[in-house]
Amino acid sequence: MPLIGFLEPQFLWGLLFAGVVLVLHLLQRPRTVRLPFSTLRFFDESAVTKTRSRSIKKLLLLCTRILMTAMIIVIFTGPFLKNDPLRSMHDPASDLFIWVDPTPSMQYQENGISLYKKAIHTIDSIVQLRTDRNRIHLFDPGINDFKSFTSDSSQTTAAQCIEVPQLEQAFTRAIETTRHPVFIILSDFQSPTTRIMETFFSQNRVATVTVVYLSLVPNNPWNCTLEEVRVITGNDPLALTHLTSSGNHRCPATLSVSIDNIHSPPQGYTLSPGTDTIITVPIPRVSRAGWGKVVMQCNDPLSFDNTARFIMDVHDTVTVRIIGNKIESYPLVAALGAACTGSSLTIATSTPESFSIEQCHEADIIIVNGGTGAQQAMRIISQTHPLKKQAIITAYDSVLTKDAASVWKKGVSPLSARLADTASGLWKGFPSLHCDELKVYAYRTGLHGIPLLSLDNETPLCTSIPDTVGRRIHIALATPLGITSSNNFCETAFYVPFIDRLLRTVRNELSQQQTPWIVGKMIKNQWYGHHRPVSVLDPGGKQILLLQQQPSFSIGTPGIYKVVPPDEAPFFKNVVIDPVERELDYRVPTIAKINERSSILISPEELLAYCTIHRRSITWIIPWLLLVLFCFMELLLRDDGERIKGRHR
Amino acid sequence: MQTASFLKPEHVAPIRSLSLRARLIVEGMIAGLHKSPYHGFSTEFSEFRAHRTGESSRMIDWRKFAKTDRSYVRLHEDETNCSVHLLIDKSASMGFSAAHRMSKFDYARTLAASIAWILIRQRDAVSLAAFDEKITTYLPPHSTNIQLQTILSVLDSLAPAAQTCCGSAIDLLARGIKKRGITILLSDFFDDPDRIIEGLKHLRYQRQDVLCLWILDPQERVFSNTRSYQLNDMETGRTLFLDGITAATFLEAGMHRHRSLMEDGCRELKIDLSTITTDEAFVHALLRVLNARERM
Repeated sequence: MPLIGFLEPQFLWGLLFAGVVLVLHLLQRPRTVRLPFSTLRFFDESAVTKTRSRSIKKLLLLCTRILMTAMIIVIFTGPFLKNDPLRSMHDPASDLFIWVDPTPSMQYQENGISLYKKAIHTIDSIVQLRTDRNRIHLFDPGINDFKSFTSDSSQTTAAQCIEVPQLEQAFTRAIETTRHPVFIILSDFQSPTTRIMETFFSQNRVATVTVVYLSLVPNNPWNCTLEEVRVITGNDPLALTHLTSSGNHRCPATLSVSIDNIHSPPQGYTLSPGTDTIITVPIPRVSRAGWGKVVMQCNDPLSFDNTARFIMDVHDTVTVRIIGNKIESYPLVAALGAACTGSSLTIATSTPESFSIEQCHEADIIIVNGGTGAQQAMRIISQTHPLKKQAIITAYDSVLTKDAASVWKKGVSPLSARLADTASGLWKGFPSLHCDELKVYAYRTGLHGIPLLSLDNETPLCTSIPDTVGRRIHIALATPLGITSSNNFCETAFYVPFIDRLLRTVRNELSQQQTPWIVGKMIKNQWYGHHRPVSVLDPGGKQILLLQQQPSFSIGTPGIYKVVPPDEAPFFKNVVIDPVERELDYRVPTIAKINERSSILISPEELLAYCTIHRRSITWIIPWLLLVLFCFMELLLRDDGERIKGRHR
Repeated sequence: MQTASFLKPEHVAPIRSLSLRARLIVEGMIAGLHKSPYHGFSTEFSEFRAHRTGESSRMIDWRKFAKTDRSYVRLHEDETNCSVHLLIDKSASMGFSAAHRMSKFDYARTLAASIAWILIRQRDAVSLAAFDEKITTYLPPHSTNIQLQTILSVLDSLAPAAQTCCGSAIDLLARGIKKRGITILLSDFFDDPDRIIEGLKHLRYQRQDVLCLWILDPQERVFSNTRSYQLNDMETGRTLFLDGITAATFLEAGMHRHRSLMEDGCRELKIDLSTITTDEAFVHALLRVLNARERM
C-alpha cells in the first residue's frame, strides 16, 4: 500500500505541467557556435570552471523550477501520510467501516448524555471529513453486517449482544471486498469487547488494516447494581437482594418490591463505595402472575441493572422422595433435614412397593436407597417420562443407563477414611475428612460417568451419570446410604456433610432451569425437532415466539417470559441483560507491535480537535515549506545569471 | 564624406587588387583632404626657407607670412630621406574575421598598402617587414615606385599563419635600423605585453618614431549571452567551450588588462597607440592616424 495518499488525487494530472517547464528549458537552451578565435590567452582554467558551474547552475535551476511546479500541484492535491490512521479516515480512496458498540454498557450516562449518543455524535464529525459518503459503512447489529451509511442512519438501542463469529465474518468481508478499509471502533471497551477486537486485529492477515479506536471510557466510572434476587417463600415471603456499588461515589437509593404493579413500601439505603451486601425486602403479596421485581431508585449512570426480577414458583421448595426401608432410611431423612438451610425441603419416604407414578412426577429428587423392590421402583422411574427436571440418586445396584456395568464387590477389607476430592466444582473444598472411623465394606464398581468423589483406592464413591435425554440428573453411589452393613457412613461425622454436598449438587443441577437467559444472546432451542411448537409469551401474555424448527433464538428485551413447551408444564424464564455489562471492567485495547503503524487509540475530543485542524497537519505544511525553499533557490540561482546578463547586453 | 562612406571596408573588400584598393583609398582620402594642412608623415620641424617662384603655394606657411609679411616654406627633417618602416603582423590571429567582414590581416595590409602609397608618393623611403613568430619577409627601404609595387606585391602574397611573437620581431627589426625614422606597427598585439613593450623600447632607443595601429575585429569584443561558444585558438589550435557570459566577462577583463598595460607602456615610451576596428572606414582610420601625427 502506498505510503502517501492524496485528498484530491485528480490534481495529480497537473504534474504534466512540470514537463512544460522542461520543454521550455530545452527550447531556451543556448546554441553552441563554433568560432575560430584570434587568441585564447585571456581564457584560463577558471573560465572553463566558471562555464561548468554555470551549466550546473542552469541544471539546478531547471530542477528547481520543475520541483516548484510539482510542489504547487502537490499542494492542491492535499497529500498526507497513509500510515497515519487519522489521515486515512478522509482518504477518498478508503472505505470507512464504523462499528458502534451495541452492548448495554453503552447506556452509561456521563454528563447527561449516554455513551451511545456520544458515539453517534462522533460519527457525525467523522462523516463530515468525507465528501463522498458512498464509502462509509455502518455496522447494523440486526443483520450482523455493514450497510451503507445514509443521513438518517440510526442504530438500534444499545441493548445488543456481540455475536463474535458473525462480527468477525462481517469484518473479514469488509477487508476482502475493499481495497483500503479503515475501521473505526467506537466503544467503552469493556474487557470482553476489547478482547474480541485485539484478537481479531492482531492476526497477521489483517495487521496492516487501519483501525481507529475511539475510546468512550467514562471518567471515574461508578455504578450501583441489583444482582440476583432469591425469594424465601413462606408465610412472610422475602426477597433476598444482592446489592453492590462500584466506584467512588456515595449514592442514596430506595428499594421496593413490585408484584402485580403493587409496590412495597420503599426502603432507603445509602450506597457507599464498595458496598456488597444482601438486603431483605419483604414481598407484599403472593404474585398471581408468578413473578415480581425488585426496583432500586438511584441516580447512578447505568440504570438497566437497577431492576431485578424474580420468579416465585419452582425454585427453593424441593421435594425429596426416598424409596427404601423406612427404618434404614431414617438417618438419611435426618441428614437431609440437617443439611438443608435457608430453603424449603419436603421429604417423603415410600417403600418400593408403594412408589407410584404420581409420586415420581411430584418429586424433584428421588433417592433409591436399596432394599428389596428397588428394581421395581427403578422400573417405574425409567418408564415414567419426566414432566420436569428431576434428580435420581441411586444407592443400590440397579442403574438407569443400559451401558453401565456394575459389580458388587463383597468381602473387601475396610478402606481408609481419607476421601480425596475429585473433579466436581461443587465438591471442591470438601473437607478431606480424616475420619478414622469411616469404613466402606462393600461397594460397586464399573459405574461410568463423572466421578464426584472417590474412595482411597480411586474407586468412585459418587458418580454423575450423563443422561442423553437431559431431563434427569443421575447420581449413582457405590454404596448405600442409611443403615446398612456395607458401610458405617451414618455412624460417622462424615455423613451429614456428605449428604449436604450431595443435595447441593443435585439442587444446583436442578436450578439450571432457573439460570436466566441473556438479552440478545442466541439461546439453544432445546425443543428443536419436536413435533409440536413451543410458545414464548412476553410479560403481558402476548406470544412473541413460536419455536419449532429454529435451532436457536434470542429475546431482545429483559423481563419474565412464560415458556409453554409441548407435553410439559409451562415455566417462567427470567431474561436479563448480560451481568458482564454492569461490571464496568474497562480496558482499552493494547495496540500490538504489528499494528503500530496502522492503528491508533484516541478519545472523541482528540478526534474533534483533529477534524477541526486536520488540514494544518505537518504533512500539509511540508509542500508549502518546500515551495518556499524552491522559490528561494530559484532567486538564488537566477540572480547570479541575470546580474551578469545585464552587464553584457 | 561621400568618399569615406564609399571607402568602408565592406565596399573596398571586393577589390582584389591591393594596389588598386590602396590607390582608391588614398585618392579618396586626398580628395577629401584638399584643405588639410597636413602633408606627409614627417615628424620634426627643421627650418624655414624662402618660397621660390614656381613652387606650390600650398607649402607656404601662412602664419609666418602673417608675422613677417614674407613667404616662407616650412621644412621638416624628414623631407629629405625619411625612412618609414612598415611592420605588419601576419600571425594566424590576424586572420580572424567575422562574417561579411574583412579579416584583420586584410584590413591591416590594405592599410599598410595605403600608407605605403602615401609615403612613396611623397618620396619617403618605405620598408616592409612581415612577422609572425619571426620576421618572415623584409624589404629594405626605398622611395621608388618599384618599391611600391614590390610592397604591394609582397603584401598581396602574404597569408596569416603561425603564432605571434610580436616582441621578438620588433626587437629584431630594431636591431637592423640604423637611422632615425618612423616605424608603423600594424598588429593585434595578442602577445605578452611586457615583451612587446620591450621591443618598442628598443625601437625608441633606435630613435624611431613609433606608431602602433592596434587592429581588432568588433566580434573580438562582444559575445552574445544567449549562446555558447566553442572557441578554437587560430594560432595554437586549443579549444575551449564557454558560455557567452563567461567569455564576454573574461575577454573584457583580459582586454582591459592588456590594453592598460599597452597604453601605459606606450605612454611611457611616447608611442602613439591607436585602436582600429575592422568595421571602421579606411578613411576614418587614416584620418585618425594622421590627426595623431601633427606633421604628416
